[in-house]
Amino acid sequence: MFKLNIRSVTKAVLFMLVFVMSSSLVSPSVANAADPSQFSAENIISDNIFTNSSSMSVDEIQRFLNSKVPNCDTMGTKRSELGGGTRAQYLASKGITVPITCLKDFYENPATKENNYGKAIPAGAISAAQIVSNYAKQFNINPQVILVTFQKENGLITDEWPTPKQFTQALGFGCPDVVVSPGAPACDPAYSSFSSQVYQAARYFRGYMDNQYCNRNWCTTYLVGNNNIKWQDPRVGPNCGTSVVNIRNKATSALYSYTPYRPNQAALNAGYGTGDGCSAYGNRNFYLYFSDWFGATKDPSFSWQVVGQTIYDENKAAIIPTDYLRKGERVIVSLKVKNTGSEIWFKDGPNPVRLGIENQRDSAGVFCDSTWLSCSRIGSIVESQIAPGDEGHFEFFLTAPDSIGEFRQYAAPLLENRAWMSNDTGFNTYIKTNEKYAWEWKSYDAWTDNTKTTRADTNTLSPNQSIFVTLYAKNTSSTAWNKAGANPTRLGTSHEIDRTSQFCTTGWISCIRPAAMDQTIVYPGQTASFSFYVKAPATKGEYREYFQPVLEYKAWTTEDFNHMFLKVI
Amino acid sequence: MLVPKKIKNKKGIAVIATVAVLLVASPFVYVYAFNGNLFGWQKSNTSKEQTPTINYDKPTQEQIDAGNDAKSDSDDTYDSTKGESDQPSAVTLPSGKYSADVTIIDSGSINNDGDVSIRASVDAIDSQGKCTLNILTKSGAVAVNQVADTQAQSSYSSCLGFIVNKSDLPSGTYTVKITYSSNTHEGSASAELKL
Repeated sequence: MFKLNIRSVTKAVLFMLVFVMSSSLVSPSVANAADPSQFSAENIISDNIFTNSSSMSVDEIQRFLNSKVPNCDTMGTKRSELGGGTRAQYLASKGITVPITCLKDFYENPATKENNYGKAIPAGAISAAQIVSNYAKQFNINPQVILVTFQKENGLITDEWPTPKQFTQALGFGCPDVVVSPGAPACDPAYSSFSSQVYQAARYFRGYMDNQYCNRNWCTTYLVGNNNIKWQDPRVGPNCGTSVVNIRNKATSALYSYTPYRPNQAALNAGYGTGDGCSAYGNRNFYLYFSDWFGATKDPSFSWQVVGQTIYDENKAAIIPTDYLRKGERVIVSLKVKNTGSEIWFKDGPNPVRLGIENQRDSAGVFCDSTWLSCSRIGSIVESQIAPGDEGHFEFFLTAPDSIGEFRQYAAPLLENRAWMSNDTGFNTYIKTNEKYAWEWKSYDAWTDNTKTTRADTNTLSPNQSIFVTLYAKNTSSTAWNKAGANPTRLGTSHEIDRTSQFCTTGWISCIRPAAMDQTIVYPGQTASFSFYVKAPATKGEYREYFQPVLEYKAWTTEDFNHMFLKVI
Repeated sequence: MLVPKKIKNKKGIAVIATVAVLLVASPFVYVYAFNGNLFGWQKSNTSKEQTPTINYDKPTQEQIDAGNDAKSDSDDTYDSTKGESDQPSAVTLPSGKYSADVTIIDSGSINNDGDVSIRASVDAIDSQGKCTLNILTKSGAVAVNQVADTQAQSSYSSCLGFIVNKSDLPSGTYTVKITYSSNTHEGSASAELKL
């Protein structure tokens, strides 16, 4: 019969809870996909990343080593990939007896060089993770560089049945690429311990970084600048010659000085695989392993280019020039940009990409608009994100200053709370404000006389009939219209301006000036009216007359194609 | 001594079973939600994109295979029992020494001091060898002759810095020849130098 024990149930539930939580949350899977097409022979890794000695703690290094060899084949029971039966049997044929010690379990005393391969941990020994961390810190080299070099030189990171030789040659230091002399040892016995290998590699990397010269005391073989670099060792295949590599930084100089070959395209095309007879793999594998295990080898870059800009009126109804705006007039700018950096731009999040005032960063912009995030932050990108190489937009209002003059404002994108972007060409908007004399035809009304009691039909006028009209005009200028003063606003004939009107009659100022403005003053945005008698022509027919407000002795308002229509029957 | 009561009734079993189901299911629901599948929760792409990461996943078979290749490539010593097709052959020169490959990395660039800098490497690890630089005019006359020691690098050697005073080399075309010699190896290489 089935029986439930509450303690057992609780234990089981708690176990599952811990298991699920730890496997799903504590150890999230991180996918850093290496892309061989992004390998740059001139810039394999940045100086900053190469020398980031605090990138991993000892515990993190140990955890990383554990993760790459989940199960060390300590007794060599699995079948040997190199033939010869089991791994233990293969090793026995080389004079090596099990148990095998993997890198994650390896300890060595750096002073005595004694280690625990196949035996107990000797006195004074420290773990491989600790050794890597110690020398990485001593020479200020990224421990990840050392870890990756273990793998590209001897496959030691992932090997679940390494031989002692893989530890004594862990970083290939003092080991020629090819042994051609009968009887000669493959590697210099002076460096034949794990800790010596790590010490020397880190020391030489630091030497290459600090001493960018080649003289009688020290030689960094491959310096920043142009270098002839071999495609591969001619002793292991055809003589494939050299190519010129313009090394861009000290870290890349250090990598070539350590491993003096450049991968060819066939090697890059092959991923981790085999290329052709002229392929070398050391620096390619360094790049691939580093990218897969630790992410980008280059510092993130943030840069941009202006693709184009369009300036619209406030309603986005028409494209307008910006060299004749009214004081305080608003325009909409659509700025098309390209992400030329290495990172995705995000609209939101901790580092949103925004457009900021650039002349003096974080100062108030001269075209500050109420819709801006602040007067030093114009706005965010329109798109939710813009990937490297893609184009996107900023769209924002600008308000012309409330004074006459010429103004220029520089702006640039930035990652808020992180970095400003640089570009070669810069971006700026130029605005010139000026007095603007403009109007908008609204309508007109007609009456039989100036009492305005009876409407007149302008389509059924008699010859020589006089009617009284009022024309309404909206002031869209930058200044107020005044009835009197030095520049009184009046209605004038237009098409052509100052043309004698065929409707001219008694009461007009002159036959080119029907009337003065009815109101004393009309401010921008308000509507003015002009009232006057019109005399229909003596001959039957249809007649059109064009009018336009004028600030007398100063300026005409803008031209308008609306007109007054009279029909004499 | 506290003796736990045995659960005898079906109601009690049902309660415990319900609690157990909820406890078992809750972490799955939490993980599901955490991945953005419930409640509109979103993982932050931004921080993931911009924070250096360490990959603690198991290695791929491709990575393991590449490591095995490295393992099978190395040998402790030159194996005279293997045929020529199995390993590079040691070329013996008339002098009785073995051939060494010399690569001229920089046949003459102007350094910060305005002098001509020449760099070369040798494919043998050797800190006891000598490199000899000869710069020859078009007629074959020796314009410059220098001797330098070698510096052992990680897997090869380099000639320790040939620096030539620019005033020793009038404008023209020269042949740069570097010869390496040790007790056991020797080799040379030439390149053109235009000033």
